[in-house]
Amino acid sequence: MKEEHQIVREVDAAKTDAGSEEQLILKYLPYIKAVTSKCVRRAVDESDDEVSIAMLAFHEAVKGYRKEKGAFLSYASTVIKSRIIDYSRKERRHSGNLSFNGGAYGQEDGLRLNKALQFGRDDMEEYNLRLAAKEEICDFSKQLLSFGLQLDDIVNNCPKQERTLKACHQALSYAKKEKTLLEFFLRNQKIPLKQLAQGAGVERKTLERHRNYMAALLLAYTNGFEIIRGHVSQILPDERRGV
Amino acid sequence: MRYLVMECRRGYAVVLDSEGRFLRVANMGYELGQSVNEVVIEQEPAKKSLHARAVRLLAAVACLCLILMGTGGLLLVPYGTVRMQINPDVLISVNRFQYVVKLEGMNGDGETLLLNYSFIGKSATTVLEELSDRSGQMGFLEEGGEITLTVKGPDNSWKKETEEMFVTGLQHHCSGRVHVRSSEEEREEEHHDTKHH
Repeated sequence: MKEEHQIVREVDAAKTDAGSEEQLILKYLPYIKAVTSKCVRRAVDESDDEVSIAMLAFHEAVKGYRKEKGAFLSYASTVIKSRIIDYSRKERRHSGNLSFNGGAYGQEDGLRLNKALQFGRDDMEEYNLRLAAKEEICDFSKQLLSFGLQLDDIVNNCPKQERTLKACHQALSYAKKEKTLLEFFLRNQKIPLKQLAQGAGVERKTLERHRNYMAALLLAYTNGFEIIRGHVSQILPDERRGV
Repeated sequence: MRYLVMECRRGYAVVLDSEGRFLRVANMGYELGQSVNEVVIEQEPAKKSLHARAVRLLAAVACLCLILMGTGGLLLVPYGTVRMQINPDVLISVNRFQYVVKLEGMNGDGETLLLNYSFIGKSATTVLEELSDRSGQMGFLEEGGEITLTVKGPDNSWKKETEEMFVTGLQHHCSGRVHVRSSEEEREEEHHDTKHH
């Protein structure tokens, strides 16, 4: 009983603090592995995809847990089992289809197949590209932090509906044309919501609701985050048309 | 769809998809800056939509209405009557469970006796006891006085059983201070007197 109260306290802390959540996952990793192992009926280790799925499920369980749902560990175990079952069903559906990018032989094998076919590609070049991407992402996260934001905040604030996502991208497209708006954003660390809404013809409320997401997008289009920009280049209507 | 790994944690990774969405996915041993083609996306906890909640609430209200209408038929419809005569003359309508559903004063004193008296939620036994006490307090019933109860119902056995129960119960409540009798007894006594004369 006392132990159960302790877990509930730990889960409550993990809901809001990423560090506490990491500790909680680390503490219950043997439990996560045990549940996974029972579910897939074989021994598993951390490098198994199923354990990765189970850890994500554990995170979902932490976020979605309420006392009314009973003991945390049994709730987490149910979530883990259902996610692993979903994953194995999905895997079974894809089995037998040889994918250029991954699939029947798992993602890593798919990537290997992809790599093997790219005879002319220089491994060194790829390594350097990833290193550059890593540096750029670290810098991006640092700059986001100066706005008081973390990537987790952006995930939580990211539009779920296609229509909302498009509205945000329309506002970004307008900001890209009106450089003064991006300068204003960087200088004042504030999103010029009114101008963006009027200029892009979208609801101000929509942009307000997704303020953190907008901040991340605007930031990506300011200080030379070429790799990130290149990755999402297709989201802007102009760039889709090749303008 | 391409996904750029933006953050790696023990429990999950954050990726940016090529449509500009930031997503939480299972961390399959990813590295920061890695670009992947397939991910397992975190599932949002199912939120009960307002529509679903409204439908459930409406269904619950409809069920409650049906139950009330069903039992209301039994609870509110009079099944039989008990007439209580002291000098105040009162007609008590009871339901199948012998709870009072209606009270009427059959004469002026009866109406006076019922003034400001609530029968709601009370059984016929309680009402009979309270009205007899009230009659005493209001000066309608004195020690050695008489209460006559007349029960009418859908069948004779119910009438007989109920009448017996009420007479015995009220007699016990008045503990011999007043005489409680049924209309049957009254008729028998009257018949006996006429024969004697």
